[in-house]
Amino acid sequence: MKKVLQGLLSAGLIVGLLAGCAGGSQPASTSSAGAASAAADGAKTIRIAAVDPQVPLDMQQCTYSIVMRITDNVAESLVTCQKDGTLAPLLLEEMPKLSDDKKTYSFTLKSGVKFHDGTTLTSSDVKYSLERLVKEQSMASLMKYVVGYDAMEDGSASELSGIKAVDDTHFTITLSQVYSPFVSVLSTPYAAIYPKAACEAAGKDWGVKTLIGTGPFKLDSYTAGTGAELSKFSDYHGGDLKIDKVSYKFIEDPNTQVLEYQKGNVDFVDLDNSLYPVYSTNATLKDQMHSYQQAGGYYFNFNVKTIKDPKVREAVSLAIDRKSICDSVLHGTASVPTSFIPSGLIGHDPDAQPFAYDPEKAKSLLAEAGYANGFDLRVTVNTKLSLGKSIATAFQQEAKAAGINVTVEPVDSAAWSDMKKNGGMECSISNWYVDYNDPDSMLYPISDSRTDTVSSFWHNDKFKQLMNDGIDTDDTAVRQKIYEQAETILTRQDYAIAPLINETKFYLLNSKVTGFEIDSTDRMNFTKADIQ
Amino acid sequence: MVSYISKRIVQTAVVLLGISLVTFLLLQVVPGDPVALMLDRRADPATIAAVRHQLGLDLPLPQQYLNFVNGVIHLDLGNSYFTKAPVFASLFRAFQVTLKLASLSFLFAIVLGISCGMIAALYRGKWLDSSLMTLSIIGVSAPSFWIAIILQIIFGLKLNLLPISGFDTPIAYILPSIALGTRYAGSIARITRTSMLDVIKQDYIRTARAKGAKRRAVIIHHALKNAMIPIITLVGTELGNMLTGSMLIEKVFSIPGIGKLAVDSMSNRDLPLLEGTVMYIALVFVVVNLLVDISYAFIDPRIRYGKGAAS
Amino acid sequence: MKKFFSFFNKQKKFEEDILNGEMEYSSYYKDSLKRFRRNKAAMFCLSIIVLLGLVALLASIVAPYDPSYQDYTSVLAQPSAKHWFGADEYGRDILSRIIYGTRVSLSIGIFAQLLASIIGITLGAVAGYFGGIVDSVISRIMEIFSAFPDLIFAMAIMTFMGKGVLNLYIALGLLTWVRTARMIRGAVIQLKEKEYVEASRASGGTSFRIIVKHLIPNCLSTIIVLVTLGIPNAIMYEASLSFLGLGIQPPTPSWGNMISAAQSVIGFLPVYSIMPGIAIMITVIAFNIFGDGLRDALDPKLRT
Repeated sequence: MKKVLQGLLSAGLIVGLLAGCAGGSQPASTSSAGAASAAADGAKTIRIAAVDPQVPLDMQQCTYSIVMRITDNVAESLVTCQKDGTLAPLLLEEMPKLSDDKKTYSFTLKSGVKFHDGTTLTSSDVKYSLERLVKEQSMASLMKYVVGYDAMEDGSASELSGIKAVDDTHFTITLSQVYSPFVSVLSTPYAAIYPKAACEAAGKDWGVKTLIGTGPFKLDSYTAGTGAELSKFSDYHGGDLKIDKVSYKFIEDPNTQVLEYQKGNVDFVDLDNSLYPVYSTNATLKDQMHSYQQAGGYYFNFNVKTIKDPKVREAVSLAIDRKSICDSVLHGTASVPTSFIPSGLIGHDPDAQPFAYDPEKAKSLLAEAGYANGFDLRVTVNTKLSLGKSIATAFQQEAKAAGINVTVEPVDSAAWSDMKKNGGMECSISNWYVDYNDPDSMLYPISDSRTDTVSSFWHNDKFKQLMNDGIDTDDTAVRQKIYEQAETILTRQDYAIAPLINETKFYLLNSKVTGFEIDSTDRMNFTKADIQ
Repeated sequence: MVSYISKRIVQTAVVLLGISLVTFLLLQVVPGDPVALMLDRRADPATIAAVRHQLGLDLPLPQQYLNFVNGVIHLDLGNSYFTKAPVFASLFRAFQVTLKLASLSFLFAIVLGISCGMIAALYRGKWLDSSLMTLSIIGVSAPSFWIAIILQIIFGLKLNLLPISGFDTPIAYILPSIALGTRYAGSIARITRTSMLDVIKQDYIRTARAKGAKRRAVIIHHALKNAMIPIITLVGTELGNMLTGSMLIEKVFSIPGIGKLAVDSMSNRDLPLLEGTVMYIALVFVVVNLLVDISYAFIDPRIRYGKGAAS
Repeated sequence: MKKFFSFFNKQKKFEEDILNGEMEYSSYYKDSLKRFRRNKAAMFCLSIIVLLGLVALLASIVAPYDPSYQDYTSVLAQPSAKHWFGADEYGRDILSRIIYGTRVSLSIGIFAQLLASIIGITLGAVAGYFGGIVDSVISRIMEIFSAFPDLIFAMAIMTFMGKGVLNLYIALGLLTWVRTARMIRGAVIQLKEKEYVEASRASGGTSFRIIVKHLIPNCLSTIIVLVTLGIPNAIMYEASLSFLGLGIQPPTPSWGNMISAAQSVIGFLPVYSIMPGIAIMITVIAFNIFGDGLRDALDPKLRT
């Protein structure tokens, strides 16, 4: 018996030795366990499943929508877009006044708006923030019609001379040409207003360790791989808040995100469209499924250098059975578009017909173009866009009917952006959504200065002229006509692109959470949210 | 021994340098531009050029590489292009997570593997033996990510017993540890069984038995002690594997360890972070191999066998 | 320097045994065959492998549907008489896709291993035979390859060359050659001191001739065992890469990318994830036990 014990002991010793390193690391794991139990103290916390952005939380530097989902509650822009698509003042007393030459806007800041660090919002913070937007490069082009932009871009000036602070609450912005969507631009998350002193002091830590704004929630912590914690800002200028905390939990895998929701560990999770039947048939979850329509959708972006003949591009468009994709592969969660400019935006033609599916006509068009024996098409998809992959897989089979032989080329995001930049794509499944509710934002990826950078190379003088005319007036009826014309050239004459689908986005939301919505520009707002 | 070890250290340095060069060159030939990716929707040539300049990516390639090597010599791996955080800090954070996961799955694999192997050897040829060995070969042959998904569904969702993601509570490590450890448990069980049977057949066992000791006590005492040697060898290399993180398991369970860091930095083409991660993984690999080699020099199974027989 | 390679002890033992066996060459293989036949588990696994091979070759006859045919009326259909294992997110028959997946998995296992063997045998034999600086350079290259994180390396190659079956063969071949090279190198070092090699060298044989005519044939059983045990390894790699979305290009079915696609609907259509996993498991088990049996038969003294 003694020997048995001895044997077991020696075995135990070895196991113990090997486990030694495990023991050493245990205290660390218990110390970080606090977050999950914080809800027990009666604080109202909304927990959101999110993907780790892995970048600073600063939309001026990193324009990912997953960053915006967090920063939107912390930092605010001067104006905000309402549910009906109209703009409303947020940090302003009233909407800005436009001068007679339609180039100078006068603003009056709401008085007494506090930043999270206790300082008061002033005109100099606005000037600083909008200039920083230019300095940070990513979205600098939003300010390109502001006087002094070119000087700042070429380095000869360190400020935008077009932005003038009159006093602490009054300032003016002067444009170099009429640009009617400018106030819309100011509603984007890129034009968030930061406190000058704190932002300068934080330097490279801005968005990493500190992020201060005027928003309803303060950023308490942002931990890579773990999550971001926000808590109520008691001095919020927009009134009292009902919830105390917003907690973003970084869960990489989308399937794991949904599983965590089902376990009740998060209150909000985005849903992939392909999962629709899984949840719409689930008795408990189907009522927790909500949807919203983001203005924009998926489209084929043709490289007109390699696919020169518009007839071929038209044939490709006719070979897509959009209705089957929407109804079967996407389970009715997407609709067949009638135009590239989605409804709700100026320039959308309500009478337009859905893009047609006609493989026979496609065949004859290809024959006219000299491809009677079939046409080879390379379709590039970004592996990060699961809808893009679904569309490509379905299209690959559908296209056979029109004699189009499709090769799908899946690439990762880094290779995708590189190929776009270098013009290496023949036809790609891209998606685009507006930054602000204006056709000017919708048509941005195919505007004349952009097509060479997105592997399209499409240039059309008439279209370019219409795009310029469109921002030159603020008469809605005139703009409607202009953009309708532009749309026709784009998708029914030149076939520079072929719109594919407009998808509905889905999310699961804990039924206890009320007063929460996502708008058509994908922005989340917890100002009115509550937990029952 | 000292000259041998110092020689090995020099060789290790050469290998690490080679690995850093391979990593550097790989990222030059693989399509993908971190700057275009970072700038996302509105990347245009002028902006890209400006950001490339900020990051020092406009320098000639040899210069970039030398700058990196110079940094490594001064123990500075640089900052990530994306997070802007120092690579050392990111590596250390990921390492802590991976270490916890590795230790736990290691413990799981050893305890389960050795006990199954022992039981199987003791009941050699019986149904218990064959069912345990069938289980262990299934463990070795099933893809770990598949086991992970099945575990998530059964224990996480259907039975609602354990967390299915995260790493902030100790119990969150249970499922990933099992998913990661199953494969190793299977091989440890098989090795334990084989080496125990080998030992059982040896003469000294028969001798000890002749002395009248109880059969089981003899087997456990002598056999297990000797079977440990091949197990420790195996375990040494597998610890290395675990410490370098499992990309698949970390993906399924959303655990921000070394494996996830490696995959993320590769898909972002984040050169400094990738260099740091790859060099860390290579270093663990080389060091573990070195230790295994050295331990071979110290532990010679035959000498131990002799001693065991004498006691 | 000798000590540096001490961790090949095990292999050396193996090679010595084969060398001893070499003296009675023909009876060695006869004995091995006899031993192998007695191993019932290995024989059973061999028949499974043959069956899998037949399924792969005759996939178009065995499979009830075209694996890429999308039947929009049965998207995510549950298992039924029409679709035994149900249908996937595009209405493709899952059973047919698993059957065609056999083709991908087996071909990857075999071709990736062939490539790995060619690279491994060549470099291993060259390093072992010439020694000196050639050996040092090849050994460092081997160390760099084995210390480099394998999935990262595969990711880089797949991104560089583009996704596709052929590229996957190359990527996995490049990933797994080191083990073969190490063993062959060790075996060649042992062999080259043997009398017949000396004799051949004395009678003016070229290095190439000596390697091809004498050294490689003598390592044959090592190579056979390595290739057999390497196949399940390559199959696992393929599954892992496809799971990470880096493997086979759609619409070609592979077990790994099926599990990956099935993950999101696992609660809804569990067979979709379970069946490809079982397919991988059966194939890997069959090759592992068969390989073990082969090793035991070729060299009864060798066990790990």
